[in-house]
Amino acid sequence: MNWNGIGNLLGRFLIFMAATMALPVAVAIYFDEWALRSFLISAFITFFVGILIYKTTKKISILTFKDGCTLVTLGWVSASVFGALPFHFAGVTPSYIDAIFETMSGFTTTGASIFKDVEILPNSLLFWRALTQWLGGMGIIVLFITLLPNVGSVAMNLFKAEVPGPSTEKVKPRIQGTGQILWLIYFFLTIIQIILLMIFGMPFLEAVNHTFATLATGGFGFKNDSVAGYNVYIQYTITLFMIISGVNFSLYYFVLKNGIKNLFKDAELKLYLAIIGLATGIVTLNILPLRQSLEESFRQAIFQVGSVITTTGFTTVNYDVWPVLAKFLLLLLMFIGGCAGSTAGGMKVGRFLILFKNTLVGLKQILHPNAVYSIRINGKPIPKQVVSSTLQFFFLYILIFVIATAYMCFLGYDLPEAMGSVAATLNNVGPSFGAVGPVANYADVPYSGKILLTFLMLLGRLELFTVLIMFLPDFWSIRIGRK
Amino acid sequence: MKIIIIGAGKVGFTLAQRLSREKHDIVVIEKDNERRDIVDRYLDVMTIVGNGASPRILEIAGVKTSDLLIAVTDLDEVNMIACMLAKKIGAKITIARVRDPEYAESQDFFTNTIGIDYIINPELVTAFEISKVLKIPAALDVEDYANGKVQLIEMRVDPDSKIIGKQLKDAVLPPSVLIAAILRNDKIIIPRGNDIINKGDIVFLIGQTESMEKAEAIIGTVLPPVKKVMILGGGRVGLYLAKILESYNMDIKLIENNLEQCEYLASQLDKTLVLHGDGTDLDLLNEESAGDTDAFISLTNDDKTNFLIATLAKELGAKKTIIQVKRSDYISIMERVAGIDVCVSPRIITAAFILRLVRRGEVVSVTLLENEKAEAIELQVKCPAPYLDIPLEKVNFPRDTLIGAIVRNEKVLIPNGQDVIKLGDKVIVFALPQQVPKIESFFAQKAKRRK
Repeated sequence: MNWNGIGNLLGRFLIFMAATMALPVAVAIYFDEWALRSFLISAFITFFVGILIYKTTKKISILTFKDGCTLVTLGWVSASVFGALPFHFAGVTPSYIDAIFETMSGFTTTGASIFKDVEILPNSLLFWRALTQWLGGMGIIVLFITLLPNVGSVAMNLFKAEVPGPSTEKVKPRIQGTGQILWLIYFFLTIIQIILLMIFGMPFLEAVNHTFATLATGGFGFKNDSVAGYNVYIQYTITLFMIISGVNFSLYYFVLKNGIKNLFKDAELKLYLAIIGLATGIVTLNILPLRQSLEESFRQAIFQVGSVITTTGFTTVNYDVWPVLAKFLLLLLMFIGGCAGSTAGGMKVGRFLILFKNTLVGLKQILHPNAVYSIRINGKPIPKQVVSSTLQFFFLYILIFVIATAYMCFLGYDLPEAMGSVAATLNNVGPSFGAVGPVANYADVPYSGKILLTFLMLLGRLELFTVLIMFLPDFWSIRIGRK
Repeated sequence: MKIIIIGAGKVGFTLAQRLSREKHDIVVIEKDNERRDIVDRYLDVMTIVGNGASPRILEIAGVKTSDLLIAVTDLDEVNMIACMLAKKIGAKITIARVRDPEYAESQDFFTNTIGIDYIINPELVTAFEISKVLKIPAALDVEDYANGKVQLIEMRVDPDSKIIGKQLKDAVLPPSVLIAAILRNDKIIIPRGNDIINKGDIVFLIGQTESMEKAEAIIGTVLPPVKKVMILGGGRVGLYLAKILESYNMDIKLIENNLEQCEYLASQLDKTLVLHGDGTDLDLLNEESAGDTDAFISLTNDDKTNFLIATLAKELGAKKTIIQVKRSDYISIMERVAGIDVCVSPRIITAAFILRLVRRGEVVSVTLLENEKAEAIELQVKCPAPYLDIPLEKVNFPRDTLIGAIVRNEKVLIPNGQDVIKLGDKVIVFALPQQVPKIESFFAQKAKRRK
């Protein structure tokens, strides 16, 4: 393991983190809030630790994939640990663990909150919450390496570790170029949504907060009732942008380059939109008896469906009172998630596409034992290793879900709540059912449960492998064995 | 015409043989001494040992004054470079054989930018020939002329056909269809009105494309359209063929014994079922119901395997068998004795394709039929000539030839003795190979004399 190189980059990453705290500082100064002091202290500590690590390590130019995974994992953990400081110093969370839960929930774009009342929080803290999501959405390490000069081959392994996906597509020859393009598109969409929300009557700061939470598919709200209190236009705008954020961002690049006509030829996008359409249809019909008008049922159905499949976690209604079928569909959608290469969590539509085609081939193989099939997506054959790693991913995902659910049951939650809380954090959704449902929050979960759920958020965001390889004994023993 | 042929492999040799027989001046450039000796021994051509892609060798061969350069070595790159150089030095027309689909796909680029006039992909041409036969199930061979308005079909006479035992002049056929030749005991007969069709004959029908179906029903065995196809051997021909047949919506099974190649095939083909296994394995053929196919096509590299498996498939019940044969000497025996329906030889097909291009001018196209035993030539009458506007029975045509069809103002005419050829007509002539130069001079020279 190359601790020197990892430490050096991690130190610089922490300095970068400290710099991002300048934004909430500006907000605090503008609104003249008491939280200013906690931000300044946090930024100073982060900067100090960063410079300390940076100065005591040496810069290197080569980083293996293993080192990349370690750095990404450490980067995310330290982002949460240091990003939690402002909450802790402001004294708004009962404990430091709660602050870390909240920050991890932000960076991983989960949107699960331990705040019972967000409306009493100062603007600067709310802004920081939203900013963590926006930074985490497109990948904070990707942003970091995009801004870093002369990273060279180091960048590639970091990118692969943070954006695993079933098929990572480079849109530019260099990773830094790819990262820049993706962040530019992200930034551009952010501006558009802020403007639209303001046109429909949302104040500036709220518009910024909601946009950050939408595009990152995070879901931290500005109000206790999430988006329910806003007008119809705002709700539709947010629905649209949630769905946009669940699409592979490199597709937008190709639209800019080659025009819109090839956009809807993408198999994953087609399936993604079909799932949204189908789920919205079923839920609309299912909740129609509860509601007065078709429009309202449709709006609530598509908002909740869009929110859950993109793993945003905004709500416009307490769906806990919906019929069981609708609730079950929402639970399923959490697992499906958005498209690969989007800001959404979950297992990703692309993986299901591969799994589905692979299963179909398995069935056909029984009829023709000698047949050779090729699993193709968008005409491109998917290598066997990718199919097999997708199967491993699926198994591991379900295994983790089952074990974590068992633990939540042990803590005394009933089955829908236990399953829901694990699904909502592992898939980076946020709100779930019952005690952790849309009108409740995670404040009352015991600390051991919070730690578990925090870990699940990280696992889900980095798509298991990057984090889990650190739990293999081999990962550590190689170093000892060789030296 | 002065023609340079680079590469004296199977195709190069065949071309040199055919073209020298037709009184062209041929120079063959061959790298290998032994191969060169063989050419020297059998053919009346000039030979040069050396690399055909070298400017020096090309100069020696006299490329500056040549009318045509044909590059048919084993290496695509050599063929392409030779053509490029020859064009620069002064060859009028260049033809390159290019196997790699990557190159063949960019044909326009090579033609327009690099100056290679024709690129021939033997595997693609072979696959295309096979697909034509599959489209008309009763046919053994199908050729199109005059942009598809005229069709030539080779088919076996059905044992119960009413036409057997009748003189041709009494045979009831649609008015725009003609029996142009009969293949009997491995010999081609250009028939006259009093010739009789026997059992076991193979006939060549020529006529208006729309009327061919009726004629087929009278003469041949009526078969349902080909739907289920099994292809053995997933090389380039197999892949191209499967791709073409996919566009006809046929059910295709493709057997290949190399797993890696199978995976490649599966990634290239959409609807074809790619099977990994040994094609000589009877269990596999049974399991995938080879006997239930409308056509069984064997395209492995080994003639013996192709022959054996196709015979086996026929035995199991495959309605039609087509095989690829590298050694064309065996074709007639395989078709006649063993009951293989169609044998295709990529070598002959490639040679025929190149010959078609060589005979430009009056000649629009040439087809070699039944392993070079007969030719069909499509000509365009461009200049005034003495034979024009005279009833055909009074024109002194070379022996063993037959005017199969005349296309005038986009209309097809199957001529009899009273019809005439007019200026601007397209004429499809049927002839034995040795008559071809006579026909060419008949149509060309007389036109010249008038100038």
